[in-house]
Amino acid sequence: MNRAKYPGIVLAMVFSLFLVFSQTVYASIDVGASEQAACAYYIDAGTGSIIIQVLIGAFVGGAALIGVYRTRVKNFLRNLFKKRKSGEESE
Amino acid sequence: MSSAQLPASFRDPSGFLFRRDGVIYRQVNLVYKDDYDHLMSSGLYQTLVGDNLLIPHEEVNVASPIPELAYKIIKPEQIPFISYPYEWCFSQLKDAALTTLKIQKKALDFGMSLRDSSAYNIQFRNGRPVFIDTLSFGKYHEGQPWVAYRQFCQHFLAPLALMSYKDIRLSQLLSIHIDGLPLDLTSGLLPWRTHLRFSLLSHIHLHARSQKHFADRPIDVRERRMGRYAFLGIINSLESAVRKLRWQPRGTEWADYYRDTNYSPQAFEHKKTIVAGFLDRVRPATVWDLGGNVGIFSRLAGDRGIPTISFDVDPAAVERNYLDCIAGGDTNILPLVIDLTNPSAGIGWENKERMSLKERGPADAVLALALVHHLAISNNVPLSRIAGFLSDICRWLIIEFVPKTDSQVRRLLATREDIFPDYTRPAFEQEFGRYFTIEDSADIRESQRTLYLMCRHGR
Repeated sequence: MNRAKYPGIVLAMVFSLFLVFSQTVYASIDVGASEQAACAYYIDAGTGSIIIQVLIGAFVGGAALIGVYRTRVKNFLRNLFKKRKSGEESE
Repeated sequence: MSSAQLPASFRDPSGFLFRRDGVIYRQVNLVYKDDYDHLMSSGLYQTLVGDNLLIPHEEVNVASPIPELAYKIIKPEQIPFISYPYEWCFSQLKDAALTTLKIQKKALDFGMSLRDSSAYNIQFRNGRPVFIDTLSFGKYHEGQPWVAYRQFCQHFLAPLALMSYKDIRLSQLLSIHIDGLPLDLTSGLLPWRTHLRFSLLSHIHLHARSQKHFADRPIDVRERRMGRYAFLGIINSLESAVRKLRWQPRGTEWADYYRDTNYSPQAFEHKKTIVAGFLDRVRPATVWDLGGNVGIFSRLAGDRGIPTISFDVDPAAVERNYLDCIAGGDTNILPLVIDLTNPSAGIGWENKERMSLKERGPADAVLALALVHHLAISNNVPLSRIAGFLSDICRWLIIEFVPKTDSQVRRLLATREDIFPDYTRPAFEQEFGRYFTIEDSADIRESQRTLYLMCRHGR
């Protein structure tokens, strides 16, 4: 049970080191000023909150993407297996 | 601003709430027309209302307080009692957070996204969380980040993490920080081991650092691109973070959580019979159970179909009460954490954004069982002032007097000097008689306690 936690902890530490110490990451993101219009965004999203969200999103989005494709591949294989089985039965 | 406009509704230019003839309406402003039409025509509104996630409304033909801005006036289903996040127990705040994320996921399916994620957008209807801000939905444009991410972390994740990892009483910070807990404060208070949990490391600790690093640097959120999978990943990550947070009283098991009473089983049953009899006699429209503990007497009212608010100062008792309500399917009881010696005040802009407890009354009937001795002896509140306060918040009063000879009162006096010569049954009846008519009283068997049914003068 505890062993299963280690990869997560290592991953978290690597990610934190990447974000905390890599000033180049922040420096590479353009935070130039521009006017916010319309009432669509009436609350202050917060520059720091948007930046960190985009970074975390890139990290966890990969997992979401893998999850979706894993399901698709699983469904594809399941359907393939079912078709073969039904084909064999009909023969 | 129209005098009818509610003081809690002024931040969002999309519309506002107003009250007319005791009914609350919401104006949808012209500027929100496209988003409102999309909400109603896309199927999102029907889906959310069907799943009991969004408060239903009807479009009505009522005069607008500010007609030049108006697109439509809607009449939402009325919420009988407004409660606030700093009055919720751990699981109520957690359920409110999960409801918000569930709504956000559904909104994405229909091409919309929440423009804010304030905990004040959630209320408890029939004991379950429901989203009440119909104007929170905006069209989702592929690539945009979640504009309400910061607010979600501050309103939900931060207080839940502190309650779970540090101290349950830190939920009270929400009454000081009306836009949620500052993340730097949360990050500083959380134990170091929370850095080892990816969700808390990223959404709290690194988020706080990022906020500090980019403080006062403007950014156009439309220029920051974040793909749909990244967006979904953020929502899933927040959902997983919230789900994993748990709390239960330290050193106890829920099954052992004990109500601190000195009743024999017979006395306890007799007390229930007397209270039930008084409730049947009065048939109140609403009940507030003050010091309701785990809600045993609140259930006497709830089982009779009476909407009942069950207040207690102990977050563990309120948590137990809420979980019992969920497990038992009780829809008439709303447990809340309230310290009666310092009840919720009016807070926010002009002290009017969030109502005080008294402003949300009066209740038709109040249960004050095994309570007076705590107020009078533990908190030095004179009987006259207890009676005065109770007469402000109810019409009918079912109250228990616990004399000094009772073992519970003796215990309260064991560690302090008895400076309460006036704490007697005749003095109790005299002081309460100034505000109430004593309609009935009954001694509880196998105890020294007495239950009274009182009615406020000039009801």
